[in-house]
This record gives sequence, C-alpha cells and structure tokens, in this order.
Amino acid sequence: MVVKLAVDGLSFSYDSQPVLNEVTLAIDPGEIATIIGPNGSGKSTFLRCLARILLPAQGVIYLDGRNITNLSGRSLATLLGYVPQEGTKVFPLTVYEAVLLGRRPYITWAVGQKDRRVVEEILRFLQLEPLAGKPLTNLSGGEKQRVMIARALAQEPKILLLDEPTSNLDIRHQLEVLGILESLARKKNMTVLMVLHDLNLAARSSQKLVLLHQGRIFASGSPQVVLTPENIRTVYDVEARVRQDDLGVQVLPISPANGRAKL
Amino acid sequence: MMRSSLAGGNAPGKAERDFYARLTSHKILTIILLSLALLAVLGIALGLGSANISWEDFWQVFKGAVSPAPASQETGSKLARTVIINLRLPRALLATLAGCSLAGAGAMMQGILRNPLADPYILGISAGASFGAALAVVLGLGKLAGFTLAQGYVVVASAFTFGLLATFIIYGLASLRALAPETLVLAGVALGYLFSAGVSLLKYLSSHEELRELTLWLMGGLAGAKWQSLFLLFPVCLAALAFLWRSSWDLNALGAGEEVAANLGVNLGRLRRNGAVGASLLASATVTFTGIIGFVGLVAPHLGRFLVGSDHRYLIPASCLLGAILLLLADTLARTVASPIEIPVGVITSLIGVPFFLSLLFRERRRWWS
Amino acid sequence: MGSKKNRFVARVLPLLMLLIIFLTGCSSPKNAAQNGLTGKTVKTFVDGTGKEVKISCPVDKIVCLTSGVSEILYALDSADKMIGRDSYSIFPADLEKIPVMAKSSFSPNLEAIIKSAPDVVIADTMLKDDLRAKLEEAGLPVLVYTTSYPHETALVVKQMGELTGKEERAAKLIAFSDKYYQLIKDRVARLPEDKKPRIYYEWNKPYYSAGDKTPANDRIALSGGKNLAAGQKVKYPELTPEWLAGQNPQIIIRMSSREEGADKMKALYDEILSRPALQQTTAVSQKKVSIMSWGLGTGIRSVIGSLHWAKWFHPDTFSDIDPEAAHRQLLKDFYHMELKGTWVYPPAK
Repeated sequence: MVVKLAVDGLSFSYDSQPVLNEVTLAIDPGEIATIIGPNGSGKSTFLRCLARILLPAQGVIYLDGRNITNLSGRSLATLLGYVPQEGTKVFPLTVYEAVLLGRRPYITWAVGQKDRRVVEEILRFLQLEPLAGKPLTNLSGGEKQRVMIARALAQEPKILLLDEPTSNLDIRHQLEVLGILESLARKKNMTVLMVLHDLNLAARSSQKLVLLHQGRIFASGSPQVVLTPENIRTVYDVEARVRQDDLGVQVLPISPANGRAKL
Repeated sequence: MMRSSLAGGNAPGKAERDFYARLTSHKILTIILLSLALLAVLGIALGLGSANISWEDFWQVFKGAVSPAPASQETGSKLARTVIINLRLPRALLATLAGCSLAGAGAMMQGILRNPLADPYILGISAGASFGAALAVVLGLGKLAGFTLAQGYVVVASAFTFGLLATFIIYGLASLRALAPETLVLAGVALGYLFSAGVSLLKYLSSHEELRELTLWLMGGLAGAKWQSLFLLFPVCLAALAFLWRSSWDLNALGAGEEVAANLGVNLGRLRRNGAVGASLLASATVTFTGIIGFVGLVAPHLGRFLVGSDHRYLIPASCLLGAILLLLADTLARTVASPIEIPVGVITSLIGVPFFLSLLFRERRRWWS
Repeated sequence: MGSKKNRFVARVLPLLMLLIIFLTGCSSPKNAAQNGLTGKTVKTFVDGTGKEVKISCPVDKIVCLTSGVSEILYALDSADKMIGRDSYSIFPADLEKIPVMAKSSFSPNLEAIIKSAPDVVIADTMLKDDLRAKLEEAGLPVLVYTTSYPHETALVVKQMGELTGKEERAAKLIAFSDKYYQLIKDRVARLPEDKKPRIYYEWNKPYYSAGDKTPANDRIALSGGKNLAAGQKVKYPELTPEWLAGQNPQIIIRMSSREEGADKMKALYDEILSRPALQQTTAVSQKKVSIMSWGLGTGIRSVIGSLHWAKWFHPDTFSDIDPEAAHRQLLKDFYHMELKGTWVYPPAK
C-alpha cells in the first residue's frame, strides 16, 4: 500500500502571530522531500502540523485522500511516524524498550510475537542489535538518533517525518542517517519528509526541496529548480555560488547579501 | 526452558526473541521476589513489638487465624491474639496500603511530569489533602474519631478535592512555562507552605473540641489503624492503582517526550487529567488516615526503576511493592527502635528520604535526565 | 383540688430531688456490687470526657499516662500501684522508677500496656479515640481526664480516691485546696471592680497570651485580676506589642516550664523588663513582673499558684497569707518532701 501526502491551504499562528500561510503541497510515495528555509520560516511548525501535534487554524492535510483530523490517534500513528528534533529528557529506557514504544499503536497490553519480530527486524536493519540492552542515556548522539528513527519505523508508518535528523551529528553520522532514509524510500517505498538546515545535504538526499519563506512556500521542486542564487539571496539574504556536477547541486555561501558583514 | 515459558515465547533459535524474553522474565521474577519480600516483612512486622510475643505463640495465632475452624478462638494465648490481631495486623496492613498508594502516586507523578523529583509530598499534594481533611473536620463534616463509613468518605472527598486542586496548580505551573524540574519542586514547596498556613488558620478559628481532633489528627501516625479505615481505603486505592496501571503504555510513550507520545496516538490531555485524578486520590485517601508521610512516593519509584527499568507495566507494581515494604519497615523501626517509646514514622521516612532526594538533586542529575 | 395538688407536689418533689442528687452525683460511684471473694466492688466512674466506665475497685495495677493524675496518685499514697507511666510523669522524682509506656497520651505503646495487664489505664485528652477503643477492645478500662481547672482536679482526686480505696486521704486533699480557694473567693468577692488590676498573662512565648474560655483566664479572674486578653476570640492569641502597650498592663505574669530553674526564670524576668514596647507600661516601670513555674500552673499545686497570684494582685487584702507556707505544708502532708527549688521569681518577700 502506498500513501500520498497532500496539504491544502494550511495556515497556523502562534498567539495570532502567523507562522504558516496557505501552504499547499503534495508529496508522492517513495519520495524524499526536504523542507528548507531560514530560522523562523515555519519549517518545524509545518512538520508538527503534519504529525497532528499542532492543530492548524485553516487548511486540510490528506493522507491518501483522507483528512487526518478524522483519523483516530492510533490509526494516524500507524500511517505516520514522527522523529522530533532532539531526544528529550527521559528516564533510562533500554534501546529495545525505546523501539518497542513504536508498537504502542498496535499493543493493548501484552507484547505479541509480531511486535517483537518487527522490533527485532528494525534493530537489525539499523544495526542496533548489539545495543539492544543498553540504556539510552549511555548512547552516542548518532546511536540515539538511530534509535529514534527505529522507534518511528516500529510504527510501520507509510510516511516518516523527521525534524533535523542530522543536527548534533558529525559528518559521518549525518551521511549514515541520510543513507538510512534513502534506503527506506527506495526499498520500502516509504515517503520521507524532513527538515534540514544544511542545503548541500538537503540537495544530495532529496528528490524534492520545499523552500519556506515567511510561512509561505517560496519555491518547490527538484534541487536544481529551488537552489538558485536568486532564491538563496531572497530567502536567506545571502550571496551564494551554486555549482552543478555529477553529485548534484552544491551551494557555497559567500557573504551576507547587502554586504553589511564585509570586513 | 523455564525462561521461555515464563515469557510466553516458544520460537527457539532467535537470539533477539530470547533477549526480550530474558528482559521480561527478569522483571517478572523481580516482582515475584518483591511480593515474597513484602510477605516476609509483613511477617516480621507482625512478629516484632514491645509485647515480646514468642514465635511459638505467634505461630499459634497465625494458624488460628488462617484455619477456617471456629475453634480458632482457643489457639495461642489471649495476649498474643489481642496484640497480633487487634494491634499489629491492622497497623501493618495500613502501612502496606499507604506505602503502596504513596509509591503509586509518586510513580504516576514522575511519569506524567517527566520529573524525577516529583512526589505527592514534595509537590504539596499531601499538604493540600491535609488542608482538605482539616477543613472537613473543622466544618464538622466528618468526625475523624468515631468514624462511620459515610463520614470517612466525606473527609476523603474533601481531602481529595484539595489534593486535586494542588495537583492542577502544579500542572498549570509546569505547562505555563517549561519549568525546570527543580523549579517545579520549589513551586511545590511553596504550595505546601500555603496549605500549611491554611491549616494553621483553621487551628486558630476552630473551637475547643474541633481543635483537639484537628491537633491529634495532624500529628498523624499509623497507631490508630482500624479495620474500618482499611475497608474504606482498600477499594479506593485498589481502583486508583488499577486505573493508573492501565495507562502504562501511555506513560511509557510520554517518557520519550510529549511530541513522540502525541505521534504514538496518546491523548495527552486525557492522560494528564486521569493521572492527576488517580494520583491525587491515592495521596489524599492515604493522608486522611495516616497524616502526611513524606518521601515514600519519591524513593520507591526510583528503587523500582533501578530494579525493573522504566516500563510502567512493571514499574508501577514494583514501586507499589517497594513502597509497601519501605513504609512497613519504617513503621516497624518506629515501633521498636526506641521501645517502649514510639518514634513518628515520618521521622524515619524523612531520614531515609532526604539524603536520597539530595543525591538525586546533585550527584545523579546527569544520569536521570538527558 | 388544692390538697390533691399539694399531695402530688409532696410526692414528686422528693423524687425529683433524688433524681437530681442521682444525676449531679454522677461522679460518685453507682451500682456498687460487692464481690465477697476478693473484697472488691464494681464501681461506675464518669470520667472527664463524660464516659461511664465500670471498674472493680480498689485497683492493684494502674498505668497512668498523664502527669496531672500521676502526681495525684502519688499524693494519695497510691504511686506503688502504678506499673506504667508517660515520660512526663516525673513529679515527684520517685515516679521515674516506674517503667515508661508512652511518650505522652498521644503516643501510648499499646502493646506494652496490654502486656502489663493493668486494672485501669488513665490518660488525658491527647489520647486518640481510636487508641482508647483499642485498649478497651483488649479488655482494659480507660479513664480520660484533664486537670486544667480546679473543678476538674477535684473530680480526679475524688475518683482516684475511690479507685484506689483512699477516699479519706482524697477528701483531705480536696479540703486542703477548697479551703484556700474559698478564702480567695470570699476576699475577692468583697473587692470593688475598679480595684482589680489589669493583668497581662504570657505563657510560653513573647506576646502569646490566653483568651476567653481558657483555664488561665478563669484563674486570673479567681485571684481578682482582669485578663487583658479576655476579649480575644482566639483561645491562645499572639498579641501585638503596640496594642498591649496601649492597654497598659499593671501586672505581668509569665509562665516558665517545669524544668527551668532560678537562672532561667531570672533571665525571663530581665528580658520582659527590657522589652522596648513595654517600657511605658505601669507593670514594667514599677517592676510588677512575676515569673511562675508551670508546676504551679496546673493540677494539684495550681491552688498554690492562685494564692501567689491573689497576693500579687492584692497585697493588702492577702497580707496575712503566705503562699510559700501553704506550698510547704502541701508538700509535707501529701508528698512527704521539703519545699526546694524556685517556683516564683522574684521570690516572695
């Protein structure tokens, strides 16, 4: 089963301060889409609306043509996995238990055979097996991020939402995490929608970029279409050189656009 | 063989499956051992005391009480029977029930607020409940002495109302601004002072007979344990604990963060509301019959977490058992250590709890959060 | 018609009087039933809480958990029957040999008491009703008293006399107190209201006084003083120094705890004289400040305290009375001991 994600006219405001304004978007199954944009452009808010953590003031989010506000908490959880930005403060669960949490939408009380099989497959897939009995607090940043993704995968979702999955990771672990997401999209036909800060990583890993600017979609499409020097100048206020080679689009920021910071 | 059958898994060959079976069977075993330990401590509590009942007499009374034969009246000496059945047994059972309830309330508050320092005593919920009960006494709604069941429930209800009020104030503060765990504790202490001031005011305003009752009641203690109060407390606490236990998975999910819990389909609003009602009910009902006993609700869940981890399906029962064991041991110490004079049980629990609290606050800060 | 009515009245009146005697005499034993074998009688006591308790008298073993009654039992030569006490029953010092079975009436060691199988347990109102019920369930009669007011103390003395078979000695002890109480009452009754001094009574902390419906308030009135805090709604109010200075007390009485000796009493005296707020008051400027040990504030010896107060309030009226001599006599006659230590400060001239 594949599920199409569509957003129609989404608006959201914090204390009457508009954050998102009439955002309309569609993402195909098996696609990796990345939301980019400067601080305060509404990236994380957009992702939270999709995960139904925030309720939008206006607009509808469709999963496979169904309005998500009509879905029960559990059935939404089986369609859509969300990995928040930072592992929040927790009591020390073991890795296995943390991943098992992802089965909560399927579990009433006891953990069944299938739940265990799913968890174990995911642990193997993300190479977390040797860590299964360790408490989360003893893990490195990269390991923790993999556990968080594993938990979302245990929900067996059709769509994976990730808020800056590479923040606080070194380059190697950033590439590792993105590699995982690529293989999920390719092998399991999963739709991946994430927020990234790094334009080069975003361009490398995604088929589609969504550039947010002041709560609106400024541009969306393939990296070549979205990452133009003009767009970057307007949205980020930065002069940048954009190059293309066999690895795709590369952005090299040069200086703040109006030259204020020239020394 | 034993292990896999305990955990209900029977597909061999998979190392990971064994891993989860090991994980759960270890927890189940721990809970069974804790239950046995509780029984042992109950035995000790019934056997020890100023009256120096011989173990032989104790055994006779025990046999007499257990066997259904009507001839049980003849077993054991009369003194032993009076002391064990009328004095030690209700008191030990009240300690068990109170320890269980306070620990359950503590585990719930820690889980919901995701705050390792949470405890009904520290957050001022016990003080709120104590004010509610005191108010009922002064208004003459229920006599704490000479309880009838209905009057008892009136006092519990009043304690519960104000315990719940305290809980919701704490909630409001916790959600208003993302308060650091320590700050929430400060707020709880302040709230505790507020309600204590309320109690002092009641003392000023009450008449002579009310004042006497109020004073005696505020001094608390388990000595007055009666079967009637046990019958009243037991269903309330059992229901509240079962109710809390049912939300184990939601609490587990909340442990991974609010956003994760929301994504996992947890109704956070309902979980918080139910948790507040359940935990306040447990703390308030207990406070009504024992007075304020501090720190059991803090220490027991942490010991439980140390033994069985953070899965609330196991953590809640383990905490309850540990709370019961702790309070029972503390009360037995209180009765015997300075015999013939009794020490208030709250002194013992504070002697254990305060160093524990301080070490949580300073030394283990890193370990528990982030 | 008239004669019929008279006959009716003549018949009913004695009946009524009997009934009244019966009811008012509720503190005296009723339903006496002699037991030929042991020489014991079952008597019914109505204790300080109004509860009827049947006890086979005279008793041999008493557990007494309140110091006010312990000192009465001692005065009735019945301390040898005490097999258990509370930790505050330390007057006279002989009592300290008796095993402790409670810190106070609030926290009795039920097991120790039940095991010692006394004939009666005596406590004060700090005993919780639940705990009283537990003792009674175990078959022990329980009597609860307070000894704050003279009439309560008299009741306890009377009942203790009956309980231990020392009725005569109890009557003597009551007569001793009554004699002095009556003397104080008679002389105070003749004093005009405007001759009664304004009293500031302070108990355990600075500016903590005693309001209406407290034993201290009654005792001040008995000795012919006007309690400044009498109008307070709160029983034990904390007064503001300003208000108190405005009331201008003529005499200040401060209580000190039983254990405190002369040094501590002098320190309290000096402290009150040095309080800035009270400098302008008559009491401080004329040094009419007195410290009294709590030992004379309650129980048997409160009659001595009242004598002291009466003499402080009205030195001329009571010039022939020597409270210390009365104290000495009380201790000699009922406690077989000499008067030692400091009970009031400054000492009587």
